[in-house]
Amino acid sequence: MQHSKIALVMGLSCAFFGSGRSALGARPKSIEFGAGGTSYEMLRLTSSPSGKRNTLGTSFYHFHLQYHLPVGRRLISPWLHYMPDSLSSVQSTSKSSQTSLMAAGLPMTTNLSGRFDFGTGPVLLQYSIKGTGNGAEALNNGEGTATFYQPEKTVSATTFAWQVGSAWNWSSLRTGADVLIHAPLSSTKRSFSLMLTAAWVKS
Amino acid sequence: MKPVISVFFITASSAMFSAAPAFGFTLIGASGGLKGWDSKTLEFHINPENCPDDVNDMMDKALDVWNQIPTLGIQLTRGSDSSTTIGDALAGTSDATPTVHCVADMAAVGLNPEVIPGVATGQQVSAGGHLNYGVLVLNAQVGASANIKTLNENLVVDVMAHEIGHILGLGHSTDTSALMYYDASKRKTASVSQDDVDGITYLYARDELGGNDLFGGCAMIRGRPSSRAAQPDAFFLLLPLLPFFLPVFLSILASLSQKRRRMSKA
Repeated sequence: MQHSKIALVMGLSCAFFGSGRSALGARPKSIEFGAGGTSYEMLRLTSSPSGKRNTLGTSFYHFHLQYHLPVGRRLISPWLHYMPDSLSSVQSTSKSSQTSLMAAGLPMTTNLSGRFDFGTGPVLLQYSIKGTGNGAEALNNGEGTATFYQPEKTVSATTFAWQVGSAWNWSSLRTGADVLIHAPLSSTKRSFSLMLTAAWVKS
Repeated sequence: MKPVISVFFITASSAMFSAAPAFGFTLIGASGGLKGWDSKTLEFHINPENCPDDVNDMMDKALDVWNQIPTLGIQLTRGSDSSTTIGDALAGTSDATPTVHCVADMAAVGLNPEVIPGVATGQQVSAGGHLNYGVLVLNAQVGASANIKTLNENLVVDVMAHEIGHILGLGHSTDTSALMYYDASKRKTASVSQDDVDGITYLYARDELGGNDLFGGCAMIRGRPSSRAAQPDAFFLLLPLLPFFLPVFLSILASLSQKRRRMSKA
């Protein structure tokens, strides 16, 4: 039952593909390297004491690497987003933990018109939290203080998402905007992230 | 034209990806090596005595505040009503799953009824470092300032979600926007911050390569962790309409692109 749902989603996506390849779109066997950012879990998280949800989510930055492999008239374009821990942008005030997001995608890319490409496919995300274990701290509990403990190990969550997006091809530069749909099959967990990338292309 | 678009893209990116907020989740327990409940699902059982009529609905909403997190590897549900008394629950003689009690005499359980709408207590940790017990106490004392029956529903859901966080193993956070911040007086809606997501993921990391359902799991019907009637999931109801609307949208994009090319040639 689960696999048939995945097949249904993938099949419906493939049915809407455009003309395939064009001389102005992504070039077969080209490799691109650049950088970008992900606005993680838009419209879901709050950064306000009132609890009001933000439009944009938490920002994660990454290096971007992608290859375009020709398959018939279309392209399979595996990509990898990575940021070393030392450069990770998300860290706790008490320096007790650091969060990073790594992702790898396998979209099918097709040219819609001219320089404009469309891509969709599954994405594997690894969300890691690294505790630095600074021991116990006393925090307010409303009637005094209580002792709580800072995290001390590294934990990773591995989830699948679905990517839907577009890219614009310049002569040797490619810029992309993608929406990641987290937990697309769950009405409770489903959420969205926005990914923007800019990369230099080498044929 | 190209430099203008490049500058726009860079400016838009900078505006969108501002510096991430700082935060600091903590854990309860004897040390930072706490592991959380050793289970893929966890049922909360409510003893309905003294509770408001809509306590089940509020509990469902509070559980969903955590269930909505895509990186969460445990499913929280509301089980059947419990007949365990608050005395047995606090003595640690009831079943291992968490129980929820609405208490009419808060002083009898050592709590101040004027300031405490809810508290999580009684958590126990096994020899292996896993949580295996917990009691959620809600203030139902008549005449008390913090009686949940007199508080706004959003605030009560917020309090319940906060105490559920303690039952699951989270301590307080230093992030003032976090659900696990100690003070809920400014909260208008129960929602999670990045810090709450990190804390609960730290304890219950989802692993879709190693046991958890892929892509968030099967939920085409929008069910609730309760006896509430299931509703169709709008996302999947609208999906069959895509073959009609997507080609129109793509045609509009294509014609706009062609028009732009004709204008630049002219």
